[in-house]
Amino acid sequence: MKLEAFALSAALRGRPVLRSVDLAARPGEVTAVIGPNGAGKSTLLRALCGLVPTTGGRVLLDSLPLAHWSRARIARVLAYVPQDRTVHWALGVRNVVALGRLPFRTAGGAPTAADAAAVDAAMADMDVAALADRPVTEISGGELARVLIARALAQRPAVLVADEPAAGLDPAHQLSLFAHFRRIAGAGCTVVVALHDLTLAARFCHSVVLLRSGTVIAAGQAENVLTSEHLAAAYGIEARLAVLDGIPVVQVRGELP
Amino acid sequence: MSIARPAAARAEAVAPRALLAGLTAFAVLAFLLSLAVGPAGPLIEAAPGARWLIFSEIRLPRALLAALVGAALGLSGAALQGYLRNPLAEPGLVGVSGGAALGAVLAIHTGLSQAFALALPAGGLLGALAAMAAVILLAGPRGGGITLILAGLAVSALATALVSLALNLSANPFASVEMVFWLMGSLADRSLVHVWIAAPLILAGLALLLRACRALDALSLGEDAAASLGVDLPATRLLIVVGISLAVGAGTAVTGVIGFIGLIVPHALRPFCAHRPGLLVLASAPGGAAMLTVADVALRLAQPYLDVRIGVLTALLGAPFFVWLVLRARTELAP
Repeated sequence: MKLEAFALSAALRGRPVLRSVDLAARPGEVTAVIGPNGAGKSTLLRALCGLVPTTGGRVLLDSLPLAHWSRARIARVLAYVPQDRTVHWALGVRNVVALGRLPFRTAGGAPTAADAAAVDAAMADMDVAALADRPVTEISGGELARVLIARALAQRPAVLVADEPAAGLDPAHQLSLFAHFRRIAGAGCTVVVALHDLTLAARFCHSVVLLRSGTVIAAGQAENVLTSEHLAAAYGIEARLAVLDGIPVVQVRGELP
Repeated sequence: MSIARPAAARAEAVAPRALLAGLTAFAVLAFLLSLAVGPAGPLIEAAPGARWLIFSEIRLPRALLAALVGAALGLSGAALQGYLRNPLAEPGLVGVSGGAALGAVLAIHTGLSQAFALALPAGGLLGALAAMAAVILLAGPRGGGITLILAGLAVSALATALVSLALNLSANPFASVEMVFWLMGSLADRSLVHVWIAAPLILAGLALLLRACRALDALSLGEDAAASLGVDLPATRLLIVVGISLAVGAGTAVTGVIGFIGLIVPHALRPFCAHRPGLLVLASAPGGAAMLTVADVALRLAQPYLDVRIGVLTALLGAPFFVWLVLRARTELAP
């Protein structure tokens, strides 16, 4: 299912945050949204999910304007992982992951075997099955991040939008997380992630959108976006995309004067 | 792992049902106990004609009101705590208790309650509905829990000020005493008519709040995540305000202000619900009914020696509860 933005603009409290942003996320691809702090990555992701009012342009989900979708229908095809990882009650890990099945539950209905299977699979994929009965208040920040991604995976979404899912994860879990994103993309899912780790973007993402001050300054394949000129313009750093032993790496020399 | 999984899943599915069944059985037992307590003894030793009268005019309305109002306070408290994601929220925070109190006090102040007895609950009901309308208008169509609570506090503060004004200006000391006693909350001397006035509105309010359970579960992850899970946030807020206003407003209109049940019951039951806000809303209805009924029975057993009003008793229970919360927080937050 395609997720697209055309000339999308959005403002928070009257301050423009996105200015005419175009983005096309396709099934089978992992799309990275990168850019410095305050570039508008989170607002773009929230706007793609219909969570912020837009001031111009439009978002199409499956070629249909988002406004034509009800909240309940969006929830059955699109899962969103917010940057904010607060869980407000001392819920058990399995109960949190099971919240991902809410869009498919009828009012008052009990979870079905399919619900339980989706929850178990999501917990196994995010390596949190061993934590199932622990309260989320008693696990580490990285573990909580994986639990919350598992919650979104339990929705079995056609489109997954995740805001900085890799932040706070150890290197092994960062790699397995992105390997899993590639795997579900391979199965037809559309994956959009906001990222700060440029090497992860270069290594795992089929396409990269570089934002600065609410506008797209480059978009396309990683090697065309992560050029020294673009990185200098966006982040003010001296950096280059290299390939070490066949693995793309973004090497950052330092800040530009 | 593969062997343990089905067993664990089953245990989780049964436990909430067992909890709800246990609490409901407890509430029913408390209700039956309440019917059996009174000066005439458990079997109502009186003349045959008086026996039915004592049962239908004194004991049944009191037991029914305790169960209904207790359920309304418990469930509303759990719903508001879940909506605000704050364990210290109390259903009165949405302004409805203050509005009901003001309406009833005005009914006494104007002498309407002298003219016909039902002016008192009618005034309370009108006050509760006016407070609800004011809170909804003030909080606006958008915005989250904070604007709702600020609007509720503003309406409560105004209602409290006007209640004080009515007490202050009351020329008739008997009316003043009546107002003060009404504000303390009581289940005594209510008839079945009071039950019929309150019951439909309380049940309607509770039905609305039950529809918010799924949204409350989703809100555990914050407003954005809840919306992405299909929750209509403005509709949920409206459900919460209207549901609590109907349930607690109708209850307060017939019994006066009964505090702390809506705070203590969800708090006490939360660990047994695995901290799940939706399940807690369900559990807090029989929990609240049982707690208010037991408190009322205790009150009546003590009555020959000590005549205390139910609202005063729940307030007396509420203060040590807060002390316990402080002590627990101190040990939990200790380095």
